[in-house]
Amino acid sequence: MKIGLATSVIGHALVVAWGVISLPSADPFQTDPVEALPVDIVSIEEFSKLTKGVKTGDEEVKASAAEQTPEPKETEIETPGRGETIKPSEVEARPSREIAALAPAPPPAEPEPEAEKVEAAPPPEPAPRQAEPAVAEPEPEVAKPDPDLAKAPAPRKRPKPPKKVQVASANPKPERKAKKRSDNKKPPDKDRPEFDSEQVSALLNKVDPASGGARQSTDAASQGRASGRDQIMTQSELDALRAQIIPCFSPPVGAAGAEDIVVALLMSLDEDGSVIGRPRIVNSGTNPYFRPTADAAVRAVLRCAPYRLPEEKYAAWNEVKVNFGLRDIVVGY
Amino acid sequence: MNPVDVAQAALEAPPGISLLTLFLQAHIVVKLVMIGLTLASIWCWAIIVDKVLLYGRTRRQMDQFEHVFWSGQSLEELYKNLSHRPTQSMSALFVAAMREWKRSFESGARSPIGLQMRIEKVLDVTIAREVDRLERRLLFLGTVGSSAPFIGLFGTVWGIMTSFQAIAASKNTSLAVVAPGIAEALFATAMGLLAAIPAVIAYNKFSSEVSKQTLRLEGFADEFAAILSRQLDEKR
Repeated sequence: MKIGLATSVIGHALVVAWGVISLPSADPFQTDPVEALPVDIVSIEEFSKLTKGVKTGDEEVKASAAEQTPEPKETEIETPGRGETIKPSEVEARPSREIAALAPAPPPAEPEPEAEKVEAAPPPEPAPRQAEPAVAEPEPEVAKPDPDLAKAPAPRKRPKPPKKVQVASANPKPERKAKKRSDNKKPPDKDRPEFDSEQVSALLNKVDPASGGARQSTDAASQGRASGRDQIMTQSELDALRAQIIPCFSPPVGAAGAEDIVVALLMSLDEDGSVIGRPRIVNSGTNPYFRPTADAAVRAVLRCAPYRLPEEKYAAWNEVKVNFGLRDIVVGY
Repeated sequence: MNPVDVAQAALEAPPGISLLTLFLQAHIVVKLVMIGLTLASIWCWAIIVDKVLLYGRTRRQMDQFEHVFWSGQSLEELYKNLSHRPTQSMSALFVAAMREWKRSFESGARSPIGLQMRIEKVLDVTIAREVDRLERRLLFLGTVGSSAPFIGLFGTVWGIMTSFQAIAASKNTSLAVVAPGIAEALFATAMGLLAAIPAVIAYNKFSSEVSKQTLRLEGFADEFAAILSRQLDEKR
């Protein structure tokens, strides 16, 4: 028995020693580093706040416009820089007369608006102030005395913030207050301003978002920074619009087979959420109650306007398609 | 212990998860279980080694004895050779029977039937003694084999229980906090299995070995009893 016991003890000691020495610790698992997926939680509210700020920016512009009458040229020079927020150095470098030549330069910078959108939102406010003097006062000056100067401001407007400068002066105001100014400017500036300022603007925007400064100017004009960012409305935003429409829609009651009726409306919206013109009925139906339902839908859309929508996404919702059914209302664009 | 300390310790632990730290970190009950299982394992292996040697030796002795026994050597001579030294298994049977035979004749026993019965009794007793020697401590192997897993499981349950309590105390369920406690708990089950598996295997193997050798002894006893009985008849 001694032999057995001794053997066993020695064997166990060896096993334990081997376990402690050669299996000292578990190898940590090799895990491939997982690339972090950055997620920003941005509420719609934030965007709406941003745009609100821009709105007020417009107002400030007006107020400041009166104050800064004296030096139209210099301020104009600065505006391009601020509007773009990209090239302060260029701004400094530009002499006032070269402006016309430099004006083309800004456009290349425009592609960046995407990045700037958010950042840019605040800047617009200051920019308009200084810019407006040019817009507001110059009307007389630009038109008459200095043709060169008049041209100079124009190019600036187109490329960068045609949105801001022109918009601030032209779009919002024309519709709400003064179209006269824009009219005054048109002759000196050339063709583009004409399109912008007038009601046509919205239609133009729809047609081709890709084309030159005219459209962009109209888009951005309203709020200063409707950026080139891809405009996609989130489901929640579409639902928000739907929720605004629903309470106003009172379809004809007791219509036979009316459950199947679907009325597709195409409506153009202005930046402030109001409906431009009359919504178009896109489809047609054989049901005798289609017409009344369609009329009810048109009435509903008109009655509930203006709609509260994220203003920086105006490009996405300037034209909205709404399907009115008795069961459900579906909003698309 | 402060929860923060627990979490901290858990975070620092990973590099040191060796067998030793597993044991040292364990709860006292788990430690006792581990120690008990280790001792059981040591004792089991001691028995296994002992039995392996014993059975091998026994088999060899039987072969040797049978060779000598059937070689035609005179029984008297064989008895003289074997009687003055300790004997085992078959030779023990032979010596016991021969001793009884001799005593009966020396004392001038009259009844051959009584002698026959006595010899058989002596053989039975000797067989029983030999089998007992072969079987001794085998029961321990059986016991360890069947109960060690449960003992290990007890340690595991206890360890997991305490580690869950620690989790509750630290209010942190990250794997780094949970893992060491569970690892140390599972270590107890591992030790239980480590002790039980060889014990069960050895027990089964040795049981069959014992029954085989017992059969062989009984066969020899019957044969030898037959030989002695024939001798009795011839002498009469």
